[in-house]
Amino acid sequence: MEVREGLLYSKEHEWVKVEGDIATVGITDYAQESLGDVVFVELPEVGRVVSAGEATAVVESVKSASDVYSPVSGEVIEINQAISDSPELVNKSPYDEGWFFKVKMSNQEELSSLLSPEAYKEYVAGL
Amino acid sequence: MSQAYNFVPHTEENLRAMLSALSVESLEGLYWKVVDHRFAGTFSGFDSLSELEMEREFSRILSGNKVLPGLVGGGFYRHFVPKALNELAGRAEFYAAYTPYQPEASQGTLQALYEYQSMMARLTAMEVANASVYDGGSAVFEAIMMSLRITNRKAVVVDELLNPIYLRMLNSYLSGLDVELLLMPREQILESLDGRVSAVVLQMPDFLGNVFDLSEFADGVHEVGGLLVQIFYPISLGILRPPGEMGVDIAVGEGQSLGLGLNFGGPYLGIMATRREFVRKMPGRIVGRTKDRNGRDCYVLTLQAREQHIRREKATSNVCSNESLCAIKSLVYLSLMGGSGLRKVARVCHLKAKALRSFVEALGLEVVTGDYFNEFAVRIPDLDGFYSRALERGFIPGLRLERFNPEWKDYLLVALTETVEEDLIKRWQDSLRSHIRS
Amino acid sequence: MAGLVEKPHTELIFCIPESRPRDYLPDVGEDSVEIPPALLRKDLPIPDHDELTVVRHFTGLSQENFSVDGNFYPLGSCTMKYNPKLNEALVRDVRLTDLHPHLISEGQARFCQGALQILWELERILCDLTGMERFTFQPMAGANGELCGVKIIRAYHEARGQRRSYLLVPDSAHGTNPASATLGGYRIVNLPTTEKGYLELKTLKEHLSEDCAGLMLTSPNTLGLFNPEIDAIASAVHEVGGLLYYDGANFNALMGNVKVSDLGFDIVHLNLHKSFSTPHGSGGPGAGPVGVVKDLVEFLPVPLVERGPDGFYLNWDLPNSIGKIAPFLGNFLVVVKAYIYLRLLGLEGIRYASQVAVLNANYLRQRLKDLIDVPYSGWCMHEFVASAAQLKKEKGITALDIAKALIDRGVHPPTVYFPLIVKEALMIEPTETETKFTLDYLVEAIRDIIDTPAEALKSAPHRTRISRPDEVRAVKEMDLAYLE
Repeated sequence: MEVREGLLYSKEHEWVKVEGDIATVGITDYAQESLGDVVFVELPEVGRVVSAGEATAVVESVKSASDVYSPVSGEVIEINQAISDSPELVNKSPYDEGWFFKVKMSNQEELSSLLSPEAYKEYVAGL
Repeated sequence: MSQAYNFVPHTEENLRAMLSALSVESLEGLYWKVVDHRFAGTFSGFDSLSELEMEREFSRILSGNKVLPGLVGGGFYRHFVPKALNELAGRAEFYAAYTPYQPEASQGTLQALYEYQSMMARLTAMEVANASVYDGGSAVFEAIMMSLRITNRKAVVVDELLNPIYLRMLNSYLSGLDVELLLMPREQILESLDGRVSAVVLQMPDFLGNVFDLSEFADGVHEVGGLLVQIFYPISLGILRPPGEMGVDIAVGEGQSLGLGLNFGGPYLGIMATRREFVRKMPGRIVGRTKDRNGRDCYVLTLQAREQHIRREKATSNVCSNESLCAIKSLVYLSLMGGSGLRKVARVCHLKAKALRSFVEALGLEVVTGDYFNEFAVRIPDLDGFYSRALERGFIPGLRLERFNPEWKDYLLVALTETVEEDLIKRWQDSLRSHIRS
Repeated sequence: MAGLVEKPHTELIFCIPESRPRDYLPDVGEDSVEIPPALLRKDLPIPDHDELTVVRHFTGLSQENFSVDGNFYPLGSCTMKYNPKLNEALVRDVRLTDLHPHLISEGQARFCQGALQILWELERILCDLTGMERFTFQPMAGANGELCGVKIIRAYHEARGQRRSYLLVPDSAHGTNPASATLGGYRIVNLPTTEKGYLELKTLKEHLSEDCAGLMLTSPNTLGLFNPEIDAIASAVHEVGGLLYYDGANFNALMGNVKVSDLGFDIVHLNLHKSFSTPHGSGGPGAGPVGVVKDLVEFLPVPLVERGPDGFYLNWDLPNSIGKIAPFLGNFLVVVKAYIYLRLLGLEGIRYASQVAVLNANYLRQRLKDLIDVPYSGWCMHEFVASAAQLKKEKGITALDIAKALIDRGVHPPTVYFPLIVKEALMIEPTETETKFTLDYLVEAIRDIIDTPAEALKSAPHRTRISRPDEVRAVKEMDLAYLE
């Protein structure tokens, strides 16, 4: 299981990549592995304003469906259409091609409550 | 031995062996180990009957039912049922199986439901159907909820000439939910449409038997970004233009007419068909065709992540048990009748209605239904008098509409199907003729 | 698939070459139709087949099914007991199948006295078994009963000028509970199951408030455990003005022994297709009649069936009714089958059936626990949950492997991967209609499976027409109707 350096993590198994005030959000390798084959992804509309912890997308495998929570507040400015068309990208490339959406953050202080790669590794090991 | 132990097969010897494996003395002793004795209930009780007694008792009870012939429809029709249907759907491999959660042990049910979905899609000219909901009324409710999910809107425009029973059900089902139900005459619907409207709900044929083209309603509601829902009568689709060819987005109907019988109100069959693009917003079970590991075609329950057992409070509906066996019956019905048989049934229904309609019009009575399929409403002066004399002569002349709407005083709704005998029609005509003369 | 007989007639009905159909109706002549041409249908893509082809097709399909008549079917929480043939035979009577429901709309009770008598008598029996005051037969399945019950809860609070916002549901509940509560306009608060395996009073109390509309509870719960704190739980909910809803999915464990009114419940639904042997019909039709205590009768759907000096009649006079859940009186023929079953058994038989259901489950549990882990020690009621988690760790055998391998041994698999709170769950409910011979057979079948190398199980079942289906492909392709 890969926990990539340079990202921040939530306990709900989302990752966040920060570039300026833009946060890219996806689900972790651990999450995609526990879900099994991802068959469907429901993405938010661009322009939707979300607050941290809000269910923003849905990811489905054959016999489960999970909400993807936005770990940060702000406006959704871009979504990854590629995973709607090919949901298997979430399994194949959770940290790169399998990203979900980008949020223009309204409160960067929220980032401080997220986990570092080491802390997330430790958290997952305890599950 | 008592007949009360019907269907529990243990011999005394086996019972003792099983109890001793658990180191308990008696059956009662075991039960009240599991449950604290303070919860033991007191019952007034009722006796058990042997099968022989039960058959006699049942026959006595049923003598209290009088099945009179008649011209009663109003959304629920007596149609011919081929005998082969009950033999096939009566096979225990179908009726004594559970929901097909284990596909390898349930291919019979799964393929039958896939065929049912295909048959309903073909009948309605829609692209997909689910594996059934409870009945026509709950299907209308589910269609409305589905339209809300698709459009993210709250208002629904409903034609006043829906079956009043469905209107009552809608009122109950929608109470407490954040939905605005706008009930109005059909003539006002097009002008009332705006960007708040999630769906327009029409019944065709409507409750008074009118048939009409839905295309202009489809255009109108699509222009404001809403959906068109049609409640259809399956038998009529043997002859009438199907929902899918008139721009309908969600087609729902009561499947009772497809070989199920009247059954004093149930079990019936809620048919639900839609466009492929909306299938993830549809409630209920759906069967899909796929391949097994050897590349062989097979069938499974699919898109289950919409459903309550996975999605819980976020599911598209709470429906779990549906009407599978009724769906299979309707499939067997359509398979036995075939396209040509269904066309014939529809044609016979219509022609019988045509003949009776020209009879009442020749008597100078007012028929309030315009274009029609097999049902029309006629105003008969002193309807209650006509009605009670007909009952005395042993038939029910139709459905009196006043109790559904006081404005429909003296309206009789008359339905004709292939099961109505010529002799009954003659008696009906004679009674009406003498009623008008007096 | 060597060894399996080919069945050409089980091709899709649309792919079998057409043949000459039977003509079931007399001819009507050549009169022309009086329908505007724009409203006429051109194409009707429904194939024609001769009767024997159709008979062979559906007979062939039926043979691909496991059923109670063919196989032991210990599917947890589904109560797959034997469905007496008498049920099926008696309801084919034309005095039932041809009885028009608009007799109800027209108030013509005199023509349906027999039907109303059955409903009236069955209502008395269900009231006796549950301790409820009245029942409605309208709900057409268990989940429909839940929705009906939630609407009654809402109507009750509104009649008291209150708008409570949430319902409590344990995390071990069937998914219909939270789904029905949401559809009834309530927010859901999930209650965790503690290590004891049931909802504890102390957990409940943390979530109670004056804003709580009630608690939905299955008893025994989906682990097959009877909650020993149930009366205290009921009192606590009542203290804040909430109502208790009983999900009757597992009523087979209580019938004739425990009255749910004594446990403190206010609203009950019963699954007639489970406890009372009306069959499951490959997934329906079921029936989910709802019973209520005296204070809630005024909210029941209309009409109710009453008995007066002139016989049975329909009572529409309930001004505070929630209205209509079904078009008429529910899935009537299903209800009639439950009536036949209950009259055959009587109270004594019902009580005995329930006790033997508990015996059969405990006997199986006792015999299986040396083979497979059974969490939550102690007695179970009519079902129990085993876990293959340990087996998976040690031998690589999962709950799914056991399920699929059981099919090859002629047994329908238990409910697997539910409840979600047990890993690798196998939920086993034998019911009272199974012999010791059948129960012992299951034990030996599972022993045999566990002794098989895991790799050999991964491709099971081997003796069915199909092997494990590709469910991912099913979702992705969405081949949901054959329209070619």
